[in-house]
Amino acid sequence: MNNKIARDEIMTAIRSGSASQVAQAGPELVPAGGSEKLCGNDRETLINDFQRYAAQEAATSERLAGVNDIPPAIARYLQQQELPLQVIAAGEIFPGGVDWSLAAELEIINRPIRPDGDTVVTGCYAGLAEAGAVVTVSSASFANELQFLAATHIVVVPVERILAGYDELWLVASKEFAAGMPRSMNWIVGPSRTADLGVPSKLGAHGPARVHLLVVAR
Amino acid sequence: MRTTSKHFRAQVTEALGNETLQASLEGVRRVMPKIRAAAVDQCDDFAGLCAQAEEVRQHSIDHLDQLLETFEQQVVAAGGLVHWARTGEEATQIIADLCASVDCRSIIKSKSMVSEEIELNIALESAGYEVTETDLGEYIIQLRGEKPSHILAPSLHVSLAEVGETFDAKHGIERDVPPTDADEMLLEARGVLREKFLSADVGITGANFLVAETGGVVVVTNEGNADLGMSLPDTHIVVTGIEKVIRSLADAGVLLRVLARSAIGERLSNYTTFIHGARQDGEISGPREFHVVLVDNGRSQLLGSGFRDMLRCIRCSACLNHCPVYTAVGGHAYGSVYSGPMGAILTPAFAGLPGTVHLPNASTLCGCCESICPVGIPLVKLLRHWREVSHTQSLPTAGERFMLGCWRLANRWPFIYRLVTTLGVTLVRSLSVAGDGRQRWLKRLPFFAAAWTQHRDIPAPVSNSFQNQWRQAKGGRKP
Repeated sequence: MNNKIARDEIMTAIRSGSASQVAQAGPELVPAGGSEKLCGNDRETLINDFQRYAAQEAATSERLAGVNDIPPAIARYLQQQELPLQVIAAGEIFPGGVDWSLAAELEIINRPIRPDGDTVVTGCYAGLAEAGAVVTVSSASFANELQFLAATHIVVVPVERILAGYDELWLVASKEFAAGMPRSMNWIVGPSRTADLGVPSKLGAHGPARVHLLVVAR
Repeated sequence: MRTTSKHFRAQVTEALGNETLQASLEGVRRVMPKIRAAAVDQCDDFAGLCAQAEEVRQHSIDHLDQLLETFEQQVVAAGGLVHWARTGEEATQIIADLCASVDCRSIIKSKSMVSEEIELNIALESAGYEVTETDLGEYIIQLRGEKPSHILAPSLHVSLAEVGETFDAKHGIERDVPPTDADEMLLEARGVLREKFLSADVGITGANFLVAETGGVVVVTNEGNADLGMSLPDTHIVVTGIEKVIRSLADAGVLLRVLARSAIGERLSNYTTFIHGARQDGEISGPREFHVVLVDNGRSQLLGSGFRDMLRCIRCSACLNHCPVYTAVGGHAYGSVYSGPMGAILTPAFAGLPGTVHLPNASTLCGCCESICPVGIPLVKLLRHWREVSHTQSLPTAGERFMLGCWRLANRWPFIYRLVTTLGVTLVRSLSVAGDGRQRWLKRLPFFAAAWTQHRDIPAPVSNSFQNQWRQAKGGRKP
């Protein structure tokens, strides 16, 4: 079969169907983005909304005063969850880097992820207060599949990257990715879940069963 | 599109007698409208969001050719390829050829209604590929050799015990009795499917939206299965309908705001992914090949028809969850992968009216579906339109046409209407029994009317008709 022939036939059918109802392609008909009033403008409200809506989707979170609190907070969380004190650190965790020696008990492992059972720590591109979601993007330094293969996903969210919502994200992304969008942009809110085995839904269907957010001030 | 919709009546009878299905549907009736209403209540202006969403989708339909062209250019610029399929057969052939070109052996799929529509799994399996559905509900029905009974919850009709028996029969794990615990089943399925993910050569997904502005593909799940399928295999193939294209990422945000709220009563589904092409320079992972197969399969014909508005559908399933007919009989009764009000309109369009004529009649026209549709599809009008078309094509049975003729006669002649309704009400009330207060009930009707009371009691009509009451209130003036 010929792709061009099929394409042309479909386009012809679309145009003959559209022509009867739309005289000509109009100007841009849709305003850019919605404008749901969900979050206030002040940063504290954004952070609170972000954590609240993430909690509604079974994510846990805590606020940290600075980058040096990240390693101890991870160690503490893993101990609380009775998980091994080992993590895979994927990509840039926090701008400027993290001093892992601040939690001597925490082991940063450097091996391929096991089929299941590892904890993966990632940074994020943004947090979305509107939905409690974190946004990650694939890159040369971040193999984004690790966050889906993990049993536990710990996400470090710099407070200044918490945005009001989707519209603000597109404004920021359109500037920062002017040369082209990343291959994969992932919005993640809470752990993987399924309702196919009854109600209430079960966590950890394919991806992580736990998502923990560290909201970190500069 | 193949259907068994011509057996609708027999399938309804079977569905009404299926206790497992009825228990699941009771859950849908009880839970889904409530959680949607709660999510809507948390919004300052959900009606405003829906108006925006409708505008976005209408823009798509009105500018489909331009948006598809732009989308294609952007996909190519991002290192992908776009394939055009006029029919379902063409689409399955394109995908089978793509799999052959990368020397594929095993394929992982995430849930896609278009792939169900074109029966992709059958085509790929007959071509020798191992295809594994990874959405847990789809995986369960794939193991059981069944069709989806709901567009979002495909295994709605399967009880937990039946899932355990299915896993026991198919997973080859030695044990004394099938698993009965949901957590145990989840871990087992996760383990089995994780191996499939890690060894697959090709990942096939659908798309919730296609973004013309950037050549992006938006995929929404709660399980995260599509994300593994889009990142682990060396080849990613997207198969979706041509109508899914929208203008911009901002427009995607508008639709995402109404999608999860309408579908599952959440602000946002757990995983929303925007894919732009294949692995980029410097990346150490991600698919090396990226293909989008755009399927027409009757959609372009809808554009110039009276069913054009149906192309706005975002497959949220809210109309199913709120429909008194769907929630009484479930999806299999419709005999189509698309069920409920949206399915009763789409199925005749894709499969032809003669074999699906029962579906537009499988509605009380109560309007509940239309009132909660987030993109303003006039579902009741479209269902009526199919009924009109079926009548002009003489598709209803002789008995149905006779009864409609009688109804028309009575409506044209008030004397006949009054005579028939007076006699009818007197007759029907004579068959009723007393209930609480003044209300009388019909518990069993005879002959051809027996089906009306087979599964429920019906309130008997009052003896004093509306017209009589009006005359009495207005001093003898006719209504």
